[in-house]
Amino acid sequence: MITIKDKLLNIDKQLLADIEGSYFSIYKIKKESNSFKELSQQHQKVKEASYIVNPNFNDANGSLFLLADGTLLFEADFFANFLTNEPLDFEYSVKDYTQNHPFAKTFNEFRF
Amino acid sequence: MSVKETTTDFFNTSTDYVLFSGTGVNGNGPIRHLNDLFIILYLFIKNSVPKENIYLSLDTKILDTLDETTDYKKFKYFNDGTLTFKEVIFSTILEENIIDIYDFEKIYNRDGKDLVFIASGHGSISGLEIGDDISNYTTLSSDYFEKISSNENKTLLIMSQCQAAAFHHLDTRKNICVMGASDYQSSVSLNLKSMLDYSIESHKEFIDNFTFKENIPINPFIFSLFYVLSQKESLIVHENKHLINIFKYTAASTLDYLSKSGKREIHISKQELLDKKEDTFVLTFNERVLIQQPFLLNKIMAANIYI
Repeated sequence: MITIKDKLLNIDKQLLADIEGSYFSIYKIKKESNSFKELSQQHQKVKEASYIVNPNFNDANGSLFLLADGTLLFEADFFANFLTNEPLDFEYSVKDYTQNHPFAKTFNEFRF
Repeated sequence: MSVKETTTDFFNTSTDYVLFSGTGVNGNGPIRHLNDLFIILYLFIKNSVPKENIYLSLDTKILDTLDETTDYKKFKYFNDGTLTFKEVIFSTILEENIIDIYDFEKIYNRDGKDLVFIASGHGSISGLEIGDDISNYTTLSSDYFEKISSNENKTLLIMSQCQAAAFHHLDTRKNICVMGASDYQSSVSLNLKSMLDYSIESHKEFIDNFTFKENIPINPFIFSLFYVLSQKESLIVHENKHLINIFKYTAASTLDYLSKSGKREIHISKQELLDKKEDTFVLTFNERVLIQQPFLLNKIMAANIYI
């Protein structure tokens, strides 16, 4: 199992903690997609990006773009909402908020 | 007997159900906000709400490229899993009931019917934020709901956005009931893998199949509401499955998730500490503390709406 730390060797530790804590979400960019080609034409800086990181809180300014090794390439002042993604090529753990949750005793019965 | 004391079912065939997100196509999180609403749409479908009674108001440009954005992922729990999320939306909501956010006030007409209005998206103390372009920014405020409400019908607002207190002080004499996710506070959406246990098969199924894409975050109030509505028999011990009890469980869950997520880890490298010349190292945080206090307005009405 390849973890985010194995793959994104140069990711900022604070950003990693914030991804694991749901403040941000990370997606792998489908580089051959038209949406990414169009974005790269508009913003040359994102051309080398492999991952996009989007914020999950209100007062954020834009998306972050990372290189294949996790290095921050570009901090955008816009949100690239419509990039096509492909499955992540690593796993990462998120914070567990289910411990002592009010519904914890019924979790095994969850049906929808 | 006044309207607020008459008993009605939350899911029925005569009420209008409006799903609303004002986040603009280029704003912060339009796809995750639509994913929030999709989860509730599933409940409408499951509970046989007629398609002519369901409305979706959003920046309609979001739908133009939704299939590409979700990489044509199909939704497993509708029509044998043959349709994409976008196709499910267009199969379950009439095209004329999909209303652009800028036209909602002008076009939507409840025509005397009861109304259940469920909001995702962003909120400020002025109300539900609409659009992201400063030149075209507006809000749907509490004035609107007072204007369209009366003694003749019921209006139930379920507001999951930040600063839901914008709707905490509506005129309850007009039969308005509000379930708000927060008072004067901000919120954050969370990864479903944090809110459920991915090692439990049914949780994994839900996470993998209800999300537009991997790791997209969901509003914790919306998810908690979904959980309570869909698990009411096993979860709610009370005989009365009415909105007061629905709210109690939803609020407890939301507060629990948010209080845990507020414990943010701050990483400081050894080098940063060594580089400091001062004797005292001061940490300051720009972020707000994320404690979200949900509220319920108009308990008389809530006690008479059953699930």
